[in-house]
Amino acid sequence: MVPMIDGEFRTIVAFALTYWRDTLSALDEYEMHTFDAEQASIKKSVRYALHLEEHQAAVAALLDATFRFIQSRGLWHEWMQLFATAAALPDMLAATRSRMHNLAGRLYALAAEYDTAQSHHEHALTFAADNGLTVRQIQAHTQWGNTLYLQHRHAEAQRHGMKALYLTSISNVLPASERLDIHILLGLTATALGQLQDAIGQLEQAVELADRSDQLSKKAMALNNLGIANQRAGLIAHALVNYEQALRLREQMHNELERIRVLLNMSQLFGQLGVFDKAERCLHRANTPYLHRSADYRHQAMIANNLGYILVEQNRAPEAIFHLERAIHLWRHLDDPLNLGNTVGELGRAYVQIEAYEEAVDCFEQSIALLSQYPDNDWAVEVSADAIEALNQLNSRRGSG
Amino acid sequence: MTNPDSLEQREKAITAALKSWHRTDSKGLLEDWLIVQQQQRDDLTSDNVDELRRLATNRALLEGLDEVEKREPHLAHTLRYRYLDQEVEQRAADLLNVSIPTMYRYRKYAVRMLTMALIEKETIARSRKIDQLLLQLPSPNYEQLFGVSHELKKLKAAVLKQGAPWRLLITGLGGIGKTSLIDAIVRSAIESLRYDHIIWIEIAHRALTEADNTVAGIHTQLTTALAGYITDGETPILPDQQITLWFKRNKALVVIDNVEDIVDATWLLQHVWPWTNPAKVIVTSRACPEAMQHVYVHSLDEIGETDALEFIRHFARSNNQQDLADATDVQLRPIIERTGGNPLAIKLVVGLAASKPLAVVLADLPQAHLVKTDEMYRHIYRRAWQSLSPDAQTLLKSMLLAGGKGVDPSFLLGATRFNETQMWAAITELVSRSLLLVRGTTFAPRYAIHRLTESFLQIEIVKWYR
Repeated sequence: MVPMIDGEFRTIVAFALTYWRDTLSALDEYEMHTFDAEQASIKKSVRYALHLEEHQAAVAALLDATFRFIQSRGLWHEWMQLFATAAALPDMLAATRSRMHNLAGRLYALAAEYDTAQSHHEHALTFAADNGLTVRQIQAHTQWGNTLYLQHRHAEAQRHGMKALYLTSISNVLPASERLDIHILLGLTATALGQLQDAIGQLEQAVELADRSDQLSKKAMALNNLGIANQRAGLIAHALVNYEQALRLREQMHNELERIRVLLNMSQLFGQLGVFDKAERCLHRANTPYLHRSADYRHQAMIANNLGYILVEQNRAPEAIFHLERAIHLWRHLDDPLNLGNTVGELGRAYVQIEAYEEAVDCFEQSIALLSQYPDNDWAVEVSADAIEALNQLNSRRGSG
Repeated sequence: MTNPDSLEQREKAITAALKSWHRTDSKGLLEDWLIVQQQQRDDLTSDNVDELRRLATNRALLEGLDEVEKREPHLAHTLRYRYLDQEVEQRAADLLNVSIPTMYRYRKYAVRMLTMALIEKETIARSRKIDQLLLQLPSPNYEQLFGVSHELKKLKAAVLKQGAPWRLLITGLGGIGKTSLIDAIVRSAIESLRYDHIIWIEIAHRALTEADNTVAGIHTQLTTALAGYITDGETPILPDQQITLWFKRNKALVVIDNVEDIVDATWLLQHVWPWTNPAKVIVTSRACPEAMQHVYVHSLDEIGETDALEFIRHFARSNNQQDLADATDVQLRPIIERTGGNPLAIKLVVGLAASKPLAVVLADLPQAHLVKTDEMYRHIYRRAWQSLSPDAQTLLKSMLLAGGKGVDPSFLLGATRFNETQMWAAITELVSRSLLLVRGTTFAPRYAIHRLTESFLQIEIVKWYR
């Protein structure tokens, strides 16, 4: 006979679930980091509770409260299975089960385990639809769309966003935060698909909703994405305002990596405008010791590449070469031939400026070879065409010389 | 600046650095100064190491010169004209409006002042760095180490050594003092500033879900903890390749504490190999895997009788058990026989003797050599549990929900439903009995329990069977 689990301990677990849920709910966006010290204790409570059937509802409520911390602190690998276990508990209400599947799906997607994520999204949607739970259906479509967006399946992602949006017309009780997520998803997918007017409209609505519901982190995200959409649409002044607002919010929240993302976008905008000193200043602001201590090599590479580009534009080839070579080193490490091809082409332009023509030819040839792997990518084709033109010019110059 | 050179030697090094201001090779660099190393780390990275080191040395010198200039501008100018602007002696003297002999005298004073300014900066930088590294460690659970001076010396040498061994494995029974020993070694490594980074990872207790009972679970814990450290928690779990690259660029000392399972320990030691050199990795484990190549293995034994006696007396004194502290060797020797010289077991037995006469406590415990360690602990823990007040028992049960960093008093207050007086009395009782570990700071204490205590509570008290 298996002995009974101690009754007093069961009561203590019940207390812990409520205690942690209340504690986490009381933390605002400036206090997200305090989660780190408590994470292991919270996880212990969850693990015990998942085995005690009387605590199923309470453990799901705690997991729900924990989700925003897991997402913002990047802890999906550690938690995703606990959400999956909660979703599979036998006596869970359909609404709760759908929610747990949905959150599990999001975490698996962030961990790039897309098949498992899809399976959770399907379950989330099925439980919601079978039980007539409109809000849960909306949430399931939105998160499924986000997963597809991460996989660069933009058109499918947009379809899920549209379904979610359609369902909002049926539901009267949808919280503003859920509506906000839909508009951000639709804005992102529309930008990726080149539907810029639509993207701007969606992201403006997202900003407005974030304002109304006082969600600063999401407001900053929406503003940054709105900036990209506006910039692509040629609405430069609007884009600049968006980035500046996003930057201010990110700085208030001490979110260094997000701040760097905004600064990178700003530098691209200034570069596009030909205001190179400002672009350069943005990049130097983004190029922090913090970034170099981190393992975020992608952003380090992007900054080095953009600095190189800005310096070439200002005929400062020797300085540019220093940054471009560093970017090349990082792209190689990251095994990213597309970006490597672009940076190598840029290095070719720098060599032309210092009249190192042999090196320049070598760079353009390498760039063209690397970019030829991406015949369906518009940007790769455009960059490759520039490299071909530069190479032809060099060859004709050498021929005539 | 690892060696405490004389002021003259430092002046010489700084003069050489000034003379080499415009060089591009490795001559006259102040590489061993922390202020220079920090300048280099904050620089945009380049593949030209000498160039970066020169830039870093020059930046540190410039900051020192700025300090000199604030106090004695003409002395700072003496150095700037000669070494930075490369003016010939006569021109430099003209610019200063002094004769050449006077300029030489000024230069001598200026180098002395610059050296003093840099030493001041270096001292502040080192002290800040040490404080920052110490923050990475959990609070120590010991006041003084007993019976491990030989181990301490040997392991400290291995950890501080510039070359191999890169991987160290410290094995020993539960409660033998592996964590305390490593903590002391890491603290001395910090004081020497041998490493730029200290990463302490406590592997979580055998988890409550099947999924974590695998190497994959350990892998996730490890990579998440490293990502948290490397990127200040801003970046999610990192791929192994990126972790390896980070380790190649940083001098780090990694401690992976409390690995329970032999499979996990073996896997970990193999897995961390690419991270090493310049980093070193120390793993502590109850299990000792079969001999592995290039791993420095040290097995920690029970402490000897003389040290054990000293330890008992020290612990009894700090626990306000003066009669026990004053007891004769003959009276105390049975404690060692019953516990086999295991420090945690000794502490628990001494704690028990606070509530019952020592003879009664000892009569109830089997001889250590007659039973397995697990059995010995189970026995001691049972007796410790039975001797606790009901409030202390309730509080200890709630500690099963405390993670590695512990929980704060507000959690315990709610979990036990005690009033504050009751709670603090229970905490005091458990701490004095070595059943509660104090973490955090004096102003913000947190409480945790030893893994052996946790296992006992799970199995024997709350009857948690999966």
